[in-house]
Amino acid sequence: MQRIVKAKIIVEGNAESELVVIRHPVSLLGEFNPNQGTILSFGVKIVVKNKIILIPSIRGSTVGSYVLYAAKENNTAPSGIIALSPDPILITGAVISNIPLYQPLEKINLEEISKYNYACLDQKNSSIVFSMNKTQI
Amino acid sequence: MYLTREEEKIYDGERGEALQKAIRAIVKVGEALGADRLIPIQHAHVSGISYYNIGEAGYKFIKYLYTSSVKTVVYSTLNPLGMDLDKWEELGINKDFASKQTELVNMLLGMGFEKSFTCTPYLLRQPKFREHLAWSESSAVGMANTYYGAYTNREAGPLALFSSLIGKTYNGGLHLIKNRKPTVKVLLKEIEKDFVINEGVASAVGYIIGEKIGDGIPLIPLRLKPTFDVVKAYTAAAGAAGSIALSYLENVSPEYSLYANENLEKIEIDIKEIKDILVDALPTLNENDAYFIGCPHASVEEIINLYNNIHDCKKLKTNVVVSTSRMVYEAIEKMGIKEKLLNLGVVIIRDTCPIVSPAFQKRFEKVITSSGKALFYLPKQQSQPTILLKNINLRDILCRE
Repeated sequence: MQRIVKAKIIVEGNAESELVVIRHPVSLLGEFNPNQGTILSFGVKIVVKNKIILIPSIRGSTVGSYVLYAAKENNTAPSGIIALSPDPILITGAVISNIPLYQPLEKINLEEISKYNYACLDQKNSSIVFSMNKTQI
Repeated sequence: MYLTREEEKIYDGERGEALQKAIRAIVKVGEALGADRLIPIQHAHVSGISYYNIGEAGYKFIKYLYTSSVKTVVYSTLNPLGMDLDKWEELGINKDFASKQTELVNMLLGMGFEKSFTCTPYLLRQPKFREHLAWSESSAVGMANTYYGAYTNREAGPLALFSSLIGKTYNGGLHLIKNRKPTVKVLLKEIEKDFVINEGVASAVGYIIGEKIGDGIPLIPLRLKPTFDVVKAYTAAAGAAGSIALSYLENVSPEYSLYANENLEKIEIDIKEIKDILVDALPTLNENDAYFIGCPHASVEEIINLYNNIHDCKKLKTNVVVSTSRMVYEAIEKMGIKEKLLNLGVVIIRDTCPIVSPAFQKRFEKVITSSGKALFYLPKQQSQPTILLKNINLRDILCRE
């Protein structure tokens, strides 16, 4: 089972990895631990290192971009980010860290998408492929 | 995005790799947000200067720019550091931290930044009506847009830094009038009379609005004119608990009248909601607690207000901490207030604040403050229990009988 969603590519790059869906806006400063590669979302610690994360948006400090950059330096960053409403803090963080950042161009239901295990950020086709198993870019 | 010939040269790397990275990041963010071109800015204000917040990765990032010999091309100021630049030892900061922080500062000053180290850059240079800025301190962004009627997005720290080197930002987001329309009308009703004079109440209102409307643009009708420090407390809380970068306050915001009659969705803040986060009764404080003002950095008037309340205290019941900018520190020094406050045992810190300094991690049993921004960040960043106070009887709270 697969779902292919057309996407706006904000920061270029391909990625394929396990998908982690985070339902709440994330504050990079304070909630993203760049030493561990984890996000603390409403009391739940979620491993995001080398995964593709899907988040609704970012909240909190304007210093957050540096946290993403620190994660990249520490090799704990996600391999790709899908954001429903990317803002300057997230985009800047992804640009300086060179992490692919995609914005879906179709409406996405986070509940429905969270049943997929993998995601593939496909630059050639400007799309995101959500799947149950690993696919090939 | 349209680029001028000079911008294209920078984009293509003809002015060096560092400036190429800078302009490419600005263009990238601008394109994602639908900007058509770059526009000149009059002032860049950069957050992410505390080594405590940005760590080794941020240090390396800034070192790369410094060693590339790039310089600021517009008036550019810096947010607070992780320590008082001169009195760090008194704060209990360790030498390794101090050495990294000092090196970071020296690199930035070498790049042309002002020795500002404050989250209140509008007190150093007042923004002009409708001028374009690239500011990345959320509370200052709120003041620039709301109080002064200047135009700035809530920029990312590194992006404001890039803008200081290029002198431009992208023509998108809140730089465009079409994106500056209010999204919701907030009615304060019975709270209004306290809101316009009391920073604690203004903080609570900002906090609630931030949580409720996230990144919207509130329009708040008021019959009375709020004080400067009330607007400062309100915008800081709304920008911390939410991502609010612009509000329209009647009798304050220069462009309020443009939208006064817009037909908007209405929400009401009632007194019960305020009471949920604002302590009305006198808290019992002891020597392990602290009363804190200065988030955002205290203005001269706030410090005078504190002084007027406690100047005849024989002894303080609790620690009193004030964080402020160098400029305000010098002003209160000239007025003779600084010395008197120090003699009473008040701790005055410059260049930094309890939120961004390692010296304030779990330092007190509890902190009371009228700052909604401190209420939001002190527990998260410093594991510091914090209470928001309606500061009406400071003398009773702080002075020992």
